[in-house]
Amino acid sequence: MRLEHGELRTLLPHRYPMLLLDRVDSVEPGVSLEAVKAVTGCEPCYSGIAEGQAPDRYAYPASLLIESFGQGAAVLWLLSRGPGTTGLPMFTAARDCVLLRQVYPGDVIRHRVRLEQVVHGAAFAAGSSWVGTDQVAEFGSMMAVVRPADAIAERKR
Amino acid sequence: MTAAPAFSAATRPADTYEAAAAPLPAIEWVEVSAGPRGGISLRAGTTVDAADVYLAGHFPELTVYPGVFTLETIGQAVTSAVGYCAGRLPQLHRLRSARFLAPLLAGDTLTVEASVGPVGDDQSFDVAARCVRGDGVHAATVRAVYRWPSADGGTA
Repeated sequence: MRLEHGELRTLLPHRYPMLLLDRVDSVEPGVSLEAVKAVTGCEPCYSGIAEGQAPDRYAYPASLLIESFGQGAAVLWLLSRGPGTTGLPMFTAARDCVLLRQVYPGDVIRHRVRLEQVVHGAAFAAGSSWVGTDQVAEFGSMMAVVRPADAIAERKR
Repeated sequence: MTAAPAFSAATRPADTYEAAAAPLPAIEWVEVSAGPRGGISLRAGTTVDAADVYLAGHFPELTVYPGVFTLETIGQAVTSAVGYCAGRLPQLHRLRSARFLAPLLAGDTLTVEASVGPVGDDQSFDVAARCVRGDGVHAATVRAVYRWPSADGGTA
């Protein structure tokens, strides 16, 4: 099964510029997924950088790389959930994630995500991210929950 | 054998944001003091701004500061506090553990208190951070390894 960008928008509540997946190339719901994220210099994370910086300063931010992988995990999990379960996926914990190589504009990241466990409404995923044949990150464990927006916003009312 | 690099003087948060690709200016202030064994202690803070371009997409119906932006705040605080090594910025290498315990919404402040270092011979250093929301709620705990990358750009 392949999911185009429009289908990702129906699954994920994230929107531009925080929707950090372009496409899902293959997915076995509840088991594993391979997703694609193309990094481009047009992304807003490159708008604030001062002129004349060294080439290594254009490395894609680690925070966005981790978020992109996490969104792949969220898609994998949400596809396996039953209907009527709405809310916002919240990244709640991570363990043993290693960033191995920098990613730059022009690189196409492939996330290989495995859903390890779903317990009491929390999902645990693991996997790796690649640019070509280079592994750029290893994700030991990422945990997320889905919370209704109303419950998250309760304190502000 | 060369000596491990030492931490240099702090840079301004605005300079940190402009020095490299970043989704947002993730710290408004940072304070640095000497820590044990050549390490440092830092405090840094920011306020969640619903007008931020990335936060507009996370989420349209409700602004929630993503857990990864708490990592971004810690990373910019570390960069601002420890400075450069041979012209290179420190980079997140290993996220040992992170727990995001309470949501940060528009208008919330986030304060990071972290112990940093000392620096090892391989130019890496540990960061242990505790993050507190403006109302005093413990928002996150993060343990990570940062390092100044080698000249080939790898962080392995």
